[in-house]
Amino acid sequence: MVQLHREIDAIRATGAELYVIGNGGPSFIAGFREQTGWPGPIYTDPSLAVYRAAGLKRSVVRTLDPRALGSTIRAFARGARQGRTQGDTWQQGGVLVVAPTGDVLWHHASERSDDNATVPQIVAALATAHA
Amino acid sequence: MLTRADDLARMTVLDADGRAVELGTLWRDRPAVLVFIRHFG
Repeated sequence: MVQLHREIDAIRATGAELYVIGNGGPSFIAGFREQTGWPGPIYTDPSLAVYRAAGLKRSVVRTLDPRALGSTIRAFARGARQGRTQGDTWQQGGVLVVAPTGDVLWHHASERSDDNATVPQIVAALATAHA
Repeated sequence: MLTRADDLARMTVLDADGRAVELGTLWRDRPAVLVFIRHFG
């Protein structure tokens, strides 16, 4: 994810815009900007309805859904905690690339916390918008 | 595999002030890359 953050210019150079979608309350946005230095547009989907509609993996939604907190706490107690990435305060749940026609050019749903889309993959998908 | 974003286009997300924004407006004029955060903090 950090790569995307640093390479927003590479994505904008294709004529596209990069949006971050989070899942906290609206106040999460200011904290996110402060902690990550993210300069671009950002929105949030507290209901997780968009996450689900975007076809993100069940495991991702389950991780985020407050109603699943009980099982998360139990998992922590068992020592099954996800490995944290050093110096990386956020992880991808997935990436969706959409053209003005409404066509989904590319869709990546992370299987694991280290299963992230790369900038070259995204730029390649954007190139198909003009094909 | 998701191929069309018509349903998504009508859904809304919130901005920092809590205002609802239709997702479809994000890709109306140019391609949009949406990065969904899995975990923060």
